[in-house]
Amino acid sequence: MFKEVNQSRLKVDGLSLAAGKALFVDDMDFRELLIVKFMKSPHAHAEILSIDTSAAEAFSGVHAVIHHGNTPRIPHTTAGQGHPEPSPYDTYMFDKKVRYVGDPVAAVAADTAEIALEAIKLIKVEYKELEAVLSIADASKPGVPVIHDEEDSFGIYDREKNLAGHVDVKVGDVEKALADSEFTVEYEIETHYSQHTPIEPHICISYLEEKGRLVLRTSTQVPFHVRRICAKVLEMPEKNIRVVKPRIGGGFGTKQEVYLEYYAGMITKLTGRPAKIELTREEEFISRTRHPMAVKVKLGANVDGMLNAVEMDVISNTGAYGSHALTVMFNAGSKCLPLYGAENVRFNGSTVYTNLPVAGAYRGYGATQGYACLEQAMDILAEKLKMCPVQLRKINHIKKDETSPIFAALGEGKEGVPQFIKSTALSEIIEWGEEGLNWSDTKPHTEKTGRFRRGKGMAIFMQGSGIPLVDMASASIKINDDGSFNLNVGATDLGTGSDTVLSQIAAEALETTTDNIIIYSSDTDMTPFDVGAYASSTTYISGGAVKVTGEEVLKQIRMVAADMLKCSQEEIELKNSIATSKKDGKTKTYGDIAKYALYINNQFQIGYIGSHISPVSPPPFMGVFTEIEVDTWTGKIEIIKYMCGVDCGTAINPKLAEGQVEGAVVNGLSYALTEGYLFNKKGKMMNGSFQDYKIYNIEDVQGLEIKLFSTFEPSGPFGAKSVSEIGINGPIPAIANALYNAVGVRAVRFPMKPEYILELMEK
Amino acid sequence: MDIKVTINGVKKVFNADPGEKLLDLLRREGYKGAKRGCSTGDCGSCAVIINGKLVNSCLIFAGQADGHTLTTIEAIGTVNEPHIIQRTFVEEGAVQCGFCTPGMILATKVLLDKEKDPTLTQIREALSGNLCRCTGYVKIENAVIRSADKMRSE
Amino acid sequence: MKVKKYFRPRDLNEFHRLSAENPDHKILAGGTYVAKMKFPKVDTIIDIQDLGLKGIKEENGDIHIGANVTFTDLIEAELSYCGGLVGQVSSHCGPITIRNIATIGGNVMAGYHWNDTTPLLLALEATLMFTSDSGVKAVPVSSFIANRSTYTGLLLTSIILPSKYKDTKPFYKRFARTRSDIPTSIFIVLNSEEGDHITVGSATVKPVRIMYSADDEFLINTLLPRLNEVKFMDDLRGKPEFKEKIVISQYREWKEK
Repeated sequence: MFKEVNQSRLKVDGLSLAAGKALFVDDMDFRELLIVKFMKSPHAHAEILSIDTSAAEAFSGVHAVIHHGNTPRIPHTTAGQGHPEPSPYDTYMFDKKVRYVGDPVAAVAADTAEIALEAIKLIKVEYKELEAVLSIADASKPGVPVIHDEEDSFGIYDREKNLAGHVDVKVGDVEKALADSEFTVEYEIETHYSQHTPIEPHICISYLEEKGRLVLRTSTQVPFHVRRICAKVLEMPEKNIRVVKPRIGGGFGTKQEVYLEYYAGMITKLTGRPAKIELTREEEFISRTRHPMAVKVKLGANVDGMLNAVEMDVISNTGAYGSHALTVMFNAGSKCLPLYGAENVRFNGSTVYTNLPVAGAYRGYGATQGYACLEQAMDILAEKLKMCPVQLRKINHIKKDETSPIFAALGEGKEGVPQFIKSTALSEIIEWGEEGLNWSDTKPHTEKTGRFRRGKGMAIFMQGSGIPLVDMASASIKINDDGSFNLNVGATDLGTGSDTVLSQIAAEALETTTDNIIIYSSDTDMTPFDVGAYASSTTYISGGAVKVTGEEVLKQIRMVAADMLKCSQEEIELKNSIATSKKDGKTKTYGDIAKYALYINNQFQIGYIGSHISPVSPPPFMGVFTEIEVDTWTGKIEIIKYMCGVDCGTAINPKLAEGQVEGAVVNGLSYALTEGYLFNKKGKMMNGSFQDYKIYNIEDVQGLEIKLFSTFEPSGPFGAKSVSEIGINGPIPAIANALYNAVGVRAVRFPMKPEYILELMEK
Repeated sequence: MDIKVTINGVKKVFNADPGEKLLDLLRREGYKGAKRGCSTGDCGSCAVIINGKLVNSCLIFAGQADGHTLTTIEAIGTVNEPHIIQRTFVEEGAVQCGFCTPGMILATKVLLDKEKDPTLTQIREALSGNLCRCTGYVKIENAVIRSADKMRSE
Repeated sequence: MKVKKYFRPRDLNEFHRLSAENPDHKILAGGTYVAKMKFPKVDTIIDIQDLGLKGIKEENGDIHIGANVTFTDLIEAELSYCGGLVGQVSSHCGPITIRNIATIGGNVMAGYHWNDTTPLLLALEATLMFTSDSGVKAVPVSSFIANRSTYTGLLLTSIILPSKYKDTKPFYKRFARTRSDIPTSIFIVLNSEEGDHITVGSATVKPVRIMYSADDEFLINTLLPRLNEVKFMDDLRGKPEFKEKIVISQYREWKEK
C-alpha cells in the first residue's frame, strides 16, 4: 500500500501562506522601481493614424513611453503553449491598429502610477474608427470588416472571413446514421463571456540582475514559455532571460498567457530600471477570458436508446486575437465526444475573430462549453425516447477497455492519439448520485405547481490528463548530507498544491517521507523544463517525471548502500530512509549513504534529472446530480443539493484533490448562474468590478456534496489522473436539466439569471 | 502627514501622503501580508483589523487610521509558531493559492475572539467580505469550525 | 489620488472653519465611497470621525442615530424599534468588511441610492438633522430625496426615526443577484394610523413611498404607475420590465401574507 501518496499531507507551503509570509510577485521591494501603465484603446476597431507622445515623454517623472512606432514588430501569439504554438501569430507588442476596447496603444513607465496615468492623458492619438464585429453571428457574414488584415501575421485559417481556425472531422457516416435513426435531437446553445478572476491579478516585475541579464518575476503558469516567447518578441537570446515564478495567487488558465512580461522587459531594457506592471481588477476583466461558443449538437438513436450518431458544430469566439483559438475549439469536441460510444461522429468547428475582449485558456478549456450543449441534448433525447436520462447515459457512456475513434481523430489543433480507457468509476458514480438524490422519485415538470418548484438534473463528463506526446515535464532530485532531498521542478504551483503533490510522489518513489523533500518551483535558471501548469497535466505528467527521477535516484542509493553494507544490490531493502541488508540485517540511513557518497569513497552526487511524456491522456470522469428550486415569480434558481462524484484515479493528496473539485464546482456555479459580461453598443465591457461582476462569496455556496472515487490508472504516477479542471463543466448542463425538470423550459443562453428564466417561462 | 498607530502591539509613526490608502502605506512599510486584489473594497485580500473590527485597508485613507490600533496577519502567528487558526487552515486544506488566506484568517480571528462557538450563519457572515476563487469555501468553512473547536478545548 | 490636504477636525467649530477655508473639499465619513472614486476631484478631505456623531439613543420613543454610526453598530444595537427592521436592513449593506466602516450618514449623503438605507429611511419617515454655521436644520428624508442638491455642503449630524413606527411589524423583502450584491429591488410595507405604506427602492434609482388602498386594482392602477417615478434603469441587474416583475412578486408575497 502507499505510504506517502494517497495521504492528505499538509500543504508544504501552507503555513508560510497562512502566516502571510510566502512571497508573491509584489512582495519584494525594488529600488528605483518604475510603474508601467497602459494607454488603452477606446474603440473596438480602429486604425491609429498618428500618435504623439512628446508631451507625455516630457512630463516630469516619466522615463519611457513605448508604442508601435518605437518597439519591434514581431508577430507572435500570447498563448503560452508548447513550441511551435498551435495558435495563430496575430499579435504584436503594439500595432497600428486596435481591435478591441482596451487593446494597448502605448505604455508609460513613470516613478509612480499617478504620474504614468497623468502622462497617458497627454498622449495624442488620431484614430480612424472602423466598423466593429461584435458577435459570433456577425463574424463571418459576407462583406464583414476584416479584423486581421495585416500582412505579416500567419497561421490564420481564413482572414477574409475572420476565421482564426477551422476543423471538420468525420468518423463513419453521420448524415446517413442520423437519417436512419428512429429518434433524433438537434439542440443549439450559446455560452457567454466570463473571467477567471484570480484574486491576485496579473502582475510582473522585470529587472536586470548583476550580470545584466533580464529577470522576469511574474505571476505565470508557464515560466518556460514566458522565456521563449519574450525572447522572440524582445529580440533577445533566451540565455539572457531568466523567468522566476514565486507564489502565484491563482490562475485558472489566464496566467497561461504571455503578454505582460515583454512590456515590462522592454521598459527595463530601455531604462535599465526595474519595472512593474500590475493589472487593476478592471483591467483584469479585459485581459483574457473564456471563449464564448455557439454549440449545436445532433444526436441519433435507436428505439433502445443506443446512440448511432453524434454531431457537434462549434463556433468559438476568440475575440480580437487568436490565443488558444484552435485548441479550445478542438477540445469542445475531443473532451466531450468520446464520452459516448456512437460509431458515426462528426465534429465541425470554427473559431472566429470579433472586436471583443481576447479569450484564452480557462479551466475546462472548451469542454465546459461543449458539455453545456451535449448534456442537455442527451436529456432531450431521453425525453423523446421516454427513457430515464440516467439510464440513457448508463447504456451509452464509455467503459473500461473501450475506446473512441475521436481520441485519434481530434487532438490539440491536430490529430490526436488512440487510447483505451484503463480506469473509470463512472458507473459507480452514477449509482451513487442516483441513490443520493432519490432519482427514482423524480416527477416530470408537468406535475409541478406553485410558486417554488423543485427539479432534478444530472449530467456526466470526462476531461483529460495532459496532452499526449506533446506535454513534457522534468524534475531534478539530489540528495543532501542528511539524507534529505532537493526536488527542483519546472512544474508551476499556482495555488493548486502541486508542490505538495509532487513532493509526496518523490517521497513515495524515494522510500522516504514528504518532510524530507525540499521542493523548489519554478525558475528557468534553476529548475529543469516543464511545459507548465495547464491541460490538467501537472499531477499526471510532472508527477510522472518526479516518479521516474525518484526511482533513478533510489537506484543510486541502493548501489551506494550495497557498497557500504558489503552485499549485493538485490539484498538491499530500502524503507523509511533506511537501507537494510537482508544478508545480516545491518542498516545505513540515507544520511549515512549521502555522506559516504559525498565524502568517503567513489565520491559523486547522488542525483538525477528525469523527464516524462505520456502516449495517452487518461480522462478523469465525473457525474453530477443536482436538485434546484425555481422561484417562478422572480426566476431565481436556488441550489438545494449539488452532488459531484469525481474519479481522478489515485488522489495523491485527497484533501487537496477535493479542494480542486470544490473550487472548480463553485466557480462553475457562479459561471452558470451569475457571472457574465455586459457590453455597451460599442463593445466596451461595462461591469469590470467585483461589485458588478458577481463571483460567489461564502454565503452563496450551499448544498455541495463532493466525493472522490478511487481508481488506479496504470499509466499515471501511483495510479493518478488529473482532477483540477473537470469540476467546472458540471453546473451549466446539470442545472439546465434540473431547470427543465422544474419548470419545463430549456436554457440556451447564459448565465441562467432570473430575468432570463422569467423570459423563458413567459414564452 | 504623520500617522500614529499601535500596530501589532507596537507604537509607530508613519509618514503618509494625504491621499494615500492604508494598504499602500502598510505594504510600503513591510506588512506584505495585506494583499491587493481589487482596490475597491470588494475582495477582502487587504483586510486588517482596526480596533477589533475587520476592514479593507484599500478603502481607508491612511489618515483615517491615525490614533487607532491595527492588527495585521504578521501579528497572528509565524511559520514556526503558527496560531491555531493558521495551523487549522492548513490541516483542513483551506489554503490553496493563499492570496486570500491572510484576510480569511483575520476574519476568523475577529469572529472567534467574539464568538467561541459560532453558528454556521455567523461564520458565513464573518467571512462574507473575503473572496476566494480557489477553494469553493467548503474547506475554509470547515477550518473555521475546527479552529473554534480547538480553541474552546485549549 | 491628488488629495493635497487631509483634516480631522475635533469639533463642529473647527469643522465649519475648515470647510469655509477649503471650499474644494469632500467630507469623509466611513470613506468606503470616497475611497472608491478613482480620482476625487478635490484637494481637501475633511474626515469627520472625531466629531462624535456616534451614538444611538432613544428619546420619547424616537430613535436618534448619529451620522457616524456604522452599519455594524446598527446591527449590534439590536434595536427593537419597528420589529428590528433597522438591523435587518443594515445587515444587507455590503459584506461585513464594508458594514464595519461604512456609516449611515455617509451612505445617505454619498448621493447614490445603491444601498438599502434610503428606502428604509423613506419608509420610516425619518428626519435628517443638518448643521451649518447658521444653525441646525431638520429635513424630512422625502424632501431631501426630492431636492438633494439643496443640502450639499451641509453636515448631516443625525437621523431621527419617529416613534410612530416603534411597535410596527414591518414587511421587508429584498431581491439581489447574490446575498452581498446591491439590491435589484427593495420592498418595505409599514403600517401606521393612516394605513399601510409601501416603499419601493432599487439600485441607482430614487425610492418611492406609496399609500396602500385596499382596492382590487391597486397593483394596476396605483403601484405600477407610481413605479415610473422609480425610473428603473436598464442595467446589469436587469431591464426595467424585469425589475417591475420583481416588485410585483414582492407585492404579491405581501398580499398573500
